[in-house]
Amino acid sequence: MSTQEASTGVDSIAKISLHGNRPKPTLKNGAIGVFRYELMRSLTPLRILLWVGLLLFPVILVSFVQFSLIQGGARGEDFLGLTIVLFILLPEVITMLCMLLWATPIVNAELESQTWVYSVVRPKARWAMITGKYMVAVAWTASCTSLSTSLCVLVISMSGAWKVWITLSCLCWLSAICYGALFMLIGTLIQRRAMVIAFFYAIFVEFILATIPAVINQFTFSFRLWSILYNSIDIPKDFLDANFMIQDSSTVGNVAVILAASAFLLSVAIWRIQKSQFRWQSEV
Amino acid sequence: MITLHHTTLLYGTVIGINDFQIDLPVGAYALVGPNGAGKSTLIGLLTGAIKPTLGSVSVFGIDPFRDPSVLQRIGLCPASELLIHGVTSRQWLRLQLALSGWDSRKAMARADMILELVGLKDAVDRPIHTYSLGMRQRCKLAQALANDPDLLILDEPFNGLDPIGRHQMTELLKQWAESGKSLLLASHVLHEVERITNSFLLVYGGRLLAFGTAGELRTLLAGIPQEITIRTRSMDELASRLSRMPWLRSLQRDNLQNQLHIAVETPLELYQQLVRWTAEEGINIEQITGIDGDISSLFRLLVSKHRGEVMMTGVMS
Repeated sequence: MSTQEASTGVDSIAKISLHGNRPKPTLKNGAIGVFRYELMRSLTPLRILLWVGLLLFPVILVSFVQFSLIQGGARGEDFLGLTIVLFILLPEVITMLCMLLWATPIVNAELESQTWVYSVVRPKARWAMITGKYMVAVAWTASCTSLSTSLCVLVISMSGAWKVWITLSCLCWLSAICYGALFMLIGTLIQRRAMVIAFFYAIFVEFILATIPAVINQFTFSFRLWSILYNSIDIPKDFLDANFMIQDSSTVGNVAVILAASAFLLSVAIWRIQKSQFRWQSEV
Repeated sequence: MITLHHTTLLYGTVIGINDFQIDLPVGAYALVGPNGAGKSTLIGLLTGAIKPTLGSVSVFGIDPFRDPSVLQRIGLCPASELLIHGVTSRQWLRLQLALSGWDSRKAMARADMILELVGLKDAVDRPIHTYSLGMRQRCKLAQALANDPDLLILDEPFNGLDPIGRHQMTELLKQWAESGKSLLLASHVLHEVERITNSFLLVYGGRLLAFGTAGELRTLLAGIPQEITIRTRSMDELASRLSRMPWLRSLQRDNLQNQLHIAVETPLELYQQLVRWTAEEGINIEQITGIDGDISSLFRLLVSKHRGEVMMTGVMS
């Protein structure tokens, strides 16, 4: 706003006028805009380092295990065990860690930087924010875990590696989709301490409740992911002596349940944000 | 343009907005009140961020909480500080435009145009966290202007601006108002809003104290108690005459400066009486000082009235 510009301000204001032809707010443009913006923000040295670290950690771990197995004259079953370890590491632990970082603070991060108000006062911006941030969380996490899976499978070089790679890669994307939606919902329901709540939720529900031999464990994503793993790879049912953790239903059925549940959780998160009232910080 | 019908907002048991009743046509308005008066809460209601506990809110005939589509016609520049790291103003504005429905390519060109208007042309690729407070304020203003709103709402836009920045902001807002678009400017810096608009909404304690132009507010004030100082050489005579008037609430003599400090219930009657006494009976009056003509004094008086403090300060001597 130089003095010259200020003196011709009315003209300038006329110049920026759209004469009422404002674009209609669309979820597509909004979500793509948020996706691009958040992805750009994720490309900081620290976050890239974290991404690489999470990617390489399973590879290094598997390499050591592989080395010790070969030294000890490993059998086929041992390599199967390595697949299980990879499953626990990638679609479970690392995916949940990434989602704790990306999906859970969805609202709180905006509140802390005092930028949530800009989304609140635009017609479809809340939807776009949730959707765009969810897409980034899934892309960031699944790209890390699926690439790590590829490297790990290369390192293991077991028989049937192709099938293991396909299954684990799909599971990485599926788990990113479902845990992303789940943690995002937690982040919208409990905005201030979402990470703590999500962490304990993951421990008690997805790790402990999922292993309880009762119907209730079928309501966890972990149960569905285990079932897909067992049904897709030729793992003997008594391999882990934990039949209650899996279900013989078709892989398609389990995938459908995961996708439907994710869509439901994401819808609830959007509904919750759309209906919530925003308090300016000075008034809270 | 803005209609509030018996609008009340409660934060639990605390009243944020208390029974607002107003119907504002298109134009520029200053929402004036001290911190905590309810200005931001009112803005929250107008932008659909908050739902009123009682009553209704409508902007351009639409309830912004129930139907957020009306927000497309509103640009808000909030009072809160912009605390973003590692993002340039161009990138951030592109996001805001995308959230308003702009596609990527058009958003880029539009962002550059708006940032040029607010004087950030040379800093579009600098991260916002390296900006001065004034530049961040302009950045916030840019996102409010970006979608060419019909109603621009600014909450304390002068916060953190240096004198030059304040002048430039004032000029831009004057031009906005002159362009025929609507403006609602919330501020506690009275003299700055006076330069932009002549229509005021005075709020305090969640209540609308008064609404109108400065002239209308002064007329309103003529009918409510005021404190007035009269400098005169006929102090004894004038004090004696005034003390017999039923509308006099208190009178204090200042013999050193030949002044009478009086409090009256109906200033208009005082002024009429003073004219008569000076014209017909030769009472000398050198100076009358009351409301000094700026909105700040009006506001102080209205707040005092609201608090029940008016007329309670004068002491007879």
